[in-house]
Amino acid sequence: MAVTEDNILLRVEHLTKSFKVGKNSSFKAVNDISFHIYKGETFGLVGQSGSGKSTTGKVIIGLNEPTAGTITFMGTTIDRSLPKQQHRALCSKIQMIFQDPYACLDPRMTVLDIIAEGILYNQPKMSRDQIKSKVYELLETVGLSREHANRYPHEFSGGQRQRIGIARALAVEPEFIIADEPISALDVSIQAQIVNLLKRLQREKNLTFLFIAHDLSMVKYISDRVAVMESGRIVELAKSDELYRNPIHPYTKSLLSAIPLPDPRTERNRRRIHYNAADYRNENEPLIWHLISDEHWVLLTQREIDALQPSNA
Amino acid sequence: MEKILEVKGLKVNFKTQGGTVQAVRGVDFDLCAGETLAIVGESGSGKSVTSKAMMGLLASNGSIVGGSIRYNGKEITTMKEKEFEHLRGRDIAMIFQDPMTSLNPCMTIGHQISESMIKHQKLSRKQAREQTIELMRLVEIKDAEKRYKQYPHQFSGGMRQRIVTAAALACHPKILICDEPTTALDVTIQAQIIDLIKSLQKKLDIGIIFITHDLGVVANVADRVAVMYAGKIVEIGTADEVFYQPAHPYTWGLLASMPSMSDSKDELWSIPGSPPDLINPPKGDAFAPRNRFAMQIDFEEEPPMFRISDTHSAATWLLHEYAPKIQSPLAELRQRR
Repeated sequence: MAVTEDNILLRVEHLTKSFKVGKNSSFKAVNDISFHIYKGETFGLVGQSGSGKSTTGKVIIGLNEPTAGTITFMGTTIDRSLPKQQHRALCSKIQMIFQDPYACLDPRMTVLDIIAEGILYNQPKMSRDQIKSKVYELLETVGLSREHANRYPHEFSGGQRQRIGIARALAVEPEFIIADEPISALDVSIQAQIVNLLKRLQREKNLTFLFIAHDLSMVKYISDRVAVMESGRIVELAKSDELYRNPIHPYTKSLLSAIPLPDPRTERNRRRIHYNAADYRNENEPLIWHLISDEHWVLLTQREIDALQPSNA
Repeated sequence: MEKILEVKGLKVNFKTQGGTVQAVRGVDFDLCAGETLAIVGESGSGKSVTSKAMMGLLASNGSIVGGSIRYNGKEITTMKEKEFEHLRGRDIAMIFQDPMTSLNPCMTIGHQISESMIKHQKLSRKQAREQTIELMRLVEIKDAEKRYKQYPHQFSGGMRQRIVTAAALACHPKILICDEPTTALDVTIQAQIIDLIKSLQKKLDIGIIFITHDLGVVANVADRVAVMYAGKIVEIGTADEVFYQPAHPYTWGLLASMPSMSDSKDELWSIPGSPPDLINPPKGDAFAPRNRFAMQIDFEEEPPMFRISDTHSAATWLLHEYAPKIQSPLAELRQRR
């Protein structure tokens, strides 16, 4: 895909988000990251807990204010100067699916009301009957049935609740869905069901996904491109096949070497690569966003780039 | 090899408002010294309940309603609580999923590790302290002397799991039950903890029961694997047998639904539906409604364990001599990859 402004849905530039810790110090959860997401692609964001991947998602959807940097969505920069109406219209095109499907559903609302809320946001004048038929349609899209509409969240299993969460996100007719660890709370046999559902929806509705997860094998499967985050920075970004075949950054290497595979023979001969940022570089060396090959970027110091050249040429 | 634990026909029920939940419905397995048995299953399959029954830690509404658990030939299901106290923590120890909930936030970690030494081995405080620091070094905690006096909140998740492991090993147990010890940890930390448990096992010759839902972790740690579904073991065998020649359709589904690291972007194989309600377990094979290969008999009669080899058996009618020979979907998937 050619890089033109037309097929870029979301552009994040120099985004920084810091949180106050105590009175005088702050902690940079996200530290000067830039990336863009194409229309219709699935962009994976991986990293350890605390690496800033969830914060990135939250800043994009507006749950947290960015400290610095810009977010451009569908050609418009999202910030406070935007007229309220336009801001609202733009933001309703972004929806989020959360990790714990039980925590994000109101236990005192029926499924019908939960999903109807999203529909009413866009079309407040819809009649009760129209809403009902829209909700039934959405439930069927995510693999539930219309009988489920009048039940409460506690009557469902984890996988079904995640389906409700997806239906609610779809109710607003988004272009872009941020899925923050959507399957990590689910059982193995259910995970594949939800991932297949997400992929089907993407095909049918031409959705774009930001898929945040720590399960690298699932991220590789679902994503077109993957960014690896470590302590608030994106350290490597590439097409998913390329990233897994040819990881450059030592942190990516160590992450990949730690994924347990369901194959006893491979596991017995596994060599793990340990990574400790301090072993590799001192903090003051400037980091450069270096292009390795077609759309494969790595954050390295000049010294490391020089060391790379021979093997790369 | 010497069998240190034998579980036969174990049944555990829980009384709830909705009715009696048959959480474990007849489980048989044994464990030898120095080996690792992994129990795999989804939530609600009864894997954790089985381990809690072995530790005598069932919730107050739960009870063992049948079967036996023998540790070194001694029956422990009928043991009095006083007697059990001598066993628990000394001979059989356990590590839980969330290390923070099993540590006391108001006690220094040194105190928590040495507690069981003082109780079970009647060591003096000074001796216990020395041994504790040694244990902390064994589980690779740096600056053991300094950290001895620190509190749990001063440690990271991975470090806390090391501390819990040290506390579990304090009295040199013969059996260590690990209930999802790495689920709450990041992949890189998970790898460290697993390596630690494996190296300790080699040094101390402990029998480990490793409970998890992550087949990747199982492939790494297990000598033998038991797959549980709806309160029963549906397949048991050596790791190679279960991973490379799985016989039960549920095992096929579990293995096939994992995205492999290959380049395939085909739709993932998935197991349709969701697990059964164990208040009224279905008639016949509990997996039948989700089984693409289910036959009439699966809905009527429960399959017995069919023996495939000395170490490998599975409970599915597909192994009956009159059943049609079905190629596992895995073989096809593996070829495609």
